[in-house]
Amino acid sequence: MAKYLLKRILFSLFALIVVTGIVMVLVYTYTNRNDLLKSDDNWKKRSGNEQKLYEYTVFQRYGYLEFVDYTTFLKTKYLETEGESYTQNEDYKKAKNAISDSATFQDYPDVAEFIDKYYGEGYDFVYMPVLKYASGKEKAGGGAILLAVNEKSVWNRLWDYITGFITFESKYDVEDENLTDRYIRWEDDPYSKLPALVGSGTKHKYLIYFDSRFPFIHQNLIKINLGISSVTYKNQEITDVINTPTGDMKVVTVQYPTQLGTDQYTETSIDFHSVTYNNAGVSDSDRAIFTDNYTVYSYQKKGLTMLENSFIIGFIATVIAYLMGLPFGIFMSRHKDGLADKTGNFYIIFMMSVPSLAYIFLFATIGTTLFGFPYKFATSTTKIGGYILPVICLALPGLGNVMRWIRRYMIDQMNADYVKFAKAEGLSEQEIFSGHIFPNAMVYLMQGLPGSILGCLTGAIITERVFAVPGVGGLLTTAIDSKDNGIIIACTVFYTFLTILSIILGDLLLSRYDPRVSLTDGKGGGR
Amino acid sequence: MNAKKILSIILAMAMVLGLAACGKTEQPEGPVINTETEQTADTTTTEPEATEAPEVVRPESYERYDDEELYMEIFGKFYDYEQAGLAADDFDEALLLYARAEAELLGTYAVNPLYTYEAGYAISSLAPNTGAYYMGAGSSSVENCVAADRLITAEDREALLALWEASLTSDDEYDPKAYLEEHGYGIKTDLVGVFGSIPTTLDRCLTFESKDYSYLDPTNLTLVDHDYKGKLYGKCAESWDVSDDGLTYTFNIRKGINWYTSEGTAYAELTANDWVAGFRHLCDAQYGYEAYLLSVEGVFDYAYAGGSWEDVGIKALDDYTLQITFTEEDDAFLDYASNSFYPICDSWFLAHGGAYGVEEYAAAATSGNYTYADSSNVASQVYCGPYYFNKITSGSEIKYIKNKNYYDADSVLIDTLDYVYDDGSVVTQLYQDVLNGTYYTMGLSADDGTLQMAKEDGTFDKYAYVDEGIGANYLMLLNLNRGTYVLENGGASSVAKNGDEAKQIDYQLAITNKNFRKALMTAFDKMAFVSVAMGEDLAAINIKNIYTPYELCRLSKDVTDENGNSFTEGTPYGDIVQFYADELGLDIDLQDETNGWFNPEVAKEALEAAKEELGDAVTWPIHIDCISMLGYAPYIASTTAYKELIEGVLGSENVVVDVIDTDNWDDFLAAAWLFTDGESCGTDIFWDIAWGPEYANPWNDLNAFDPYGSGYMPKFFGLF
Repeated sequence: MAKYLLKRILFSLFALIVVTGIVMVLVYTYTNRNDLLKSDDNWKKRSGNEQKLYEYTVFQRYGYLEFVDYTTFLKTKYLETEGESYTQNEDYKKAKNAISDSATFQDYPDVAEFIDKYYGEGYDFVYMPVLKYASGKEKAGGGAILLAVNEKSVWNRLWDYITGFITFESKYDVEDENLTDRYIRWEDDPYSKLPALVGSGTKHKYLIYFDSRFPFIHQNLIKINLGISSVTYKNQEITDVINTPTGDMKVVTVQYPTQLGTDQYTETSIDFHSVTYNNAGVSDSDRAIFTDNYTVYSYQKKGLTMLENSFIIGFIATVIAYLMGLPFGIFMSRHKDGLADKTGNFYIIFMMSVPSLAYIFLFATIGTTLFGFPYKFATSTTKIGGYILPVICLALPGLGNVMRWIRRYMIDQMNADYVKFAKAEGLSEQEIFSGHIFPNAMVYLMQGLPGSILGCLTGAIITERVFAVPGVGGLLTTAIDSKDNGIIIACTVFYTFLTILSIILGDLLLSRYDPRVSLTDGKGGGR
Repeated sequence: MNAKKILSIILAMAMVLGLAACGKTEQPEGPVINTETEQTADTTTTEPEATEAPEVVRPESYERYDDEELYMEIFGKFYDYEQAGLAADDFDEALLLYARAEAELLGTYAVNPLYTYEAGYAISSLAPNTGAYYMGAGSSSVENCVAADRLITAEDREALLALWEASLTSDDEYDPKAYLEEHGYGIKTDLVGVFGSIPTTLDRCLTFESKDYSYLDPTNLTLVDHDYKGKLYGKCAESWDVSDDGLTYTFNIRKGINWYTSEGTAYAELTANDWVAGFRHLCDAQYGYEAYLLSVEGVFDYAYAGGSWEDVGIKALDDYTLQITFTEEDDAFLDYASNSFYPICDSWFLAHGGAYGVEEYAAAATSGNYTYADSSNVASQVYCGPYYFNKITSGSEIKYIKNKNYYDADSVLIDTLDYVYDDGSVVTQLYQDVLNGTYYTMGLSADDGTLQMAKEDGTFDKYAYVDEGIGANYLMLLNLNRGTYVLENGGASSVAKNGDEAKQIDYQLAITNKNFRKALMTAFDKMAFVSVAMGEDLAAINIKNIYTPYELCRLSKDVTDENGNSFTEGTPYGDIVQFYADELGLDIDLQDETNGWFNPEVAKEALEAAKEELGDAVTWPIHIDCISMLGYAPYIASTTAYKELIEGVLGSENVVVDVIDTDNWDDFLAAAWLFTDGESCGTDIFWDIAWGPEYANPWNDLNAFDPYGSGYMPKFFGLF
């Protein structure tokens, strides 16, 4: 079994990488990147070569390519030798103007150096000659431009992504020469009254710590990097975005590190466990609060993170769907064609055919007018009030689904030969039902169970939008709309991972539940 | 593993490899320099058609006219007056010259303003002209909002607007708060509204869409700002000096302004150095704002050509003095300073992973250590404006709290601003919430049914007013110097003219004849056309007959032009343009809500005059190509409408509109507007280009028509 599992996992990893690679190819090669320019006023306002250069800037921002401008190369080179006043240097000025002559520029020493350097690194080159009118006057934005451009190949992209996927913190992370005392050690944490793993020279100060937030023990040692967003959450890592609590700031009475040991307290929301190193120099106001150089902080917040919100709503809805759906569906199957069955079927067909937005609105109206549930998540005055309507609206179609399938499987089983045989043998209805029919019918649902639960992590797009729940549901669709390539890749990896995990767990659960199923090669057990 | 499995793996790998290989560029032997050239300058010259001469000479073959000569012939007077306005010392005198330039521009009949960008009906509980004061400013100066506790009726709104207008020409203050309290309204101190998407970042320099930066502006401070009279006053800068030659601006920064965290604790004082840092960051980020600084010494080199920041003319002389040195005079600078330039807290920026320098910043921003101004974390930024962020949660809520230590805290009436997410799908709920005062404003639209709902229950009559939109107008433009008849992917972008030189020449001679263009533009029923696009309800309030917004600015004193015509203080720009248009005999009514250009009689007369002038040189009908996109309903509807309207008035024996259907976006875009020079324009007429001024100076709108490639518009005339 262990060998089987290992094979499965390796193959799944391979599949994950292939899927990521395919999506990268689709996103970076086969989508029309000129759509980005259509709505960009800055592009419209430029002309000539400057406009083309701006296009490269935009594409670089979105991750399609990397480019180096010849003038940037010159700047780095002359800054080293000439210092800050390099712009006055005669050689610099001549080198800068060298590219204006389209016939001879390639031979000019600085240009040749530039070309050699980047050709060696696999870049292509783009040259834009000076643009002039017939009269000789230079057109607006018509100066000569030389660029080294690297359209990342999918292999490089994939490799960079895989190698950057997991990062570890080390005590040499901080590049501050003045920091000499670097360590990672266990210390007593004044904020949790428990020990904590503290680093000096690491990016985060608290590497392992305890606090009152689920799951009560937290770590900063290992970080998973799904991707950096370029549009919807500019320059932010997606894993951080979906793991930030979404509630109000939580004000607590604590002591600043500078106040520890005194009897002074302050009311603040600063989360002292979140501090990271300040490379730029500690200001006076920082000194009033912190005793070391770890002064960059986040706030403590109430509420759940985006991921948790989506999961909670989905999970409770799934639980309700199964807890209510199974009994109803079984009841319907045992009283087939009766009134209960007809009502149940009506409900199932209603949920299947009515568009989600319509029934969400229907139940929302019923909920707000008859029961007084809060409509928008943010306007709820209680902690759980905002969850009620989203959970109900998500549970109802799930309920219909479970009812439909368990009823079908049950009826199938009830018509099987072995039931007639068991009746002939003299087993009672109840025994047949609970010992044979029901377990057999559940086999089919078992395999899908992990999928339903893990699928809650992807969030419900429409429900979250209508009730303004801060969740991860809309992440992928918004990203596709705004061409946020970082999020698209991140979501693909995440969803693929969930799918693969669900399938593996589903198979394992099935093999556990049904002794006839054996995953390993062999003759199969049971009957 | 059996054979099937192996085969499927191989196939999968082959597919991935194949796709990857297609995406990878070929790497040839040595370094390859790909030269990207634009079309070389047009070296052909033909005698420009002289409209004064009685006889029109038909050329032997079709050749494009010289861009510059044709431009100067048709737009020369416009350009002269525009340049004269630029050179004028006094802004009011310049206004007269700009107005004249605009009249000349409209009088070429090569451009026809159509409709504005999203004007619509709205209901609101905000007093008019509080909040965003200035058209084109783009900022929502929400700190000056005066909000009633319920919707303001249409009559009260009109009364308030009258008070505002009166305050412009007298010394009276516009005090909406007093009026509202007298008339039984309460004043709200907590506003709740709706939003669609959170700002993508808290760094103002990285946002150029108003849906992004309008959320950041309440937390920021500009150097100067406009008050409700449109007059400039010092905000972050207490006062400022401009040197005599106009090249040096010195700002005295107000003392005692601090940067605050979201908890309201002071972090650092705001000094002139923070302003220098802000400008430098703006140049590093290169989101387009640096283009507003190009007349500052050294900025171009620093941003685009590897220059050093030492050479840039933005310096902090001391903690409270900011000096900016220009290489040429820039009248627009103070206007941009009221809505586009912001400081950043230098120490905070560096502490959160920031860096200065174009490449250094680009590298820092995409590294994992950059935590500055993350939109998902209000703790990642400090704020110096009247509000600071308390909460930003995507898909849920944005909340601001008033900064009690703001330097002008007394004039800020709203204590908390709360925006709740609404995706617009359940409109009836939203509508009810606006009526009962939960949300303070809402636009009424025919698309989502709110306009109909409002008309049915009487809300429309009682509360609705016209929300002007953002001031950018859609224009209809004629190609005067057609250069290409072929689409990008090879298809023909002309039905009649591709390959038929005779018809090309016919078109060329006709379109460069002013009377012919006049016929085309005055035969055009704008109201019917715009109604096709947006329905009759909205057509009336969206229609435009003048290019620069009518009320863009007003004269601040009495002025007389060189011909002795005098204008009084307070005259809006549009009135002046109308005056000159009448003088030129244009027969155009520039007021909104009228079908101001449409006049079938005049059109037919102009057509006859054109026929006389062109004589035998031209064979009728003239074919006009109109680009469209298969399957894209808005374009199909509007091109069909145009064809019917024009041929209906002028007759298809005189003018035939050929609708060119492209079947893919690449072809369409390349022919319609994504081309870079006039020769590549692949259509004879196009109307999906919008342009609007960014600040209250008509030159900002008119310069879009500047020649030699510095203006965006001439390429749609086929020029430059």
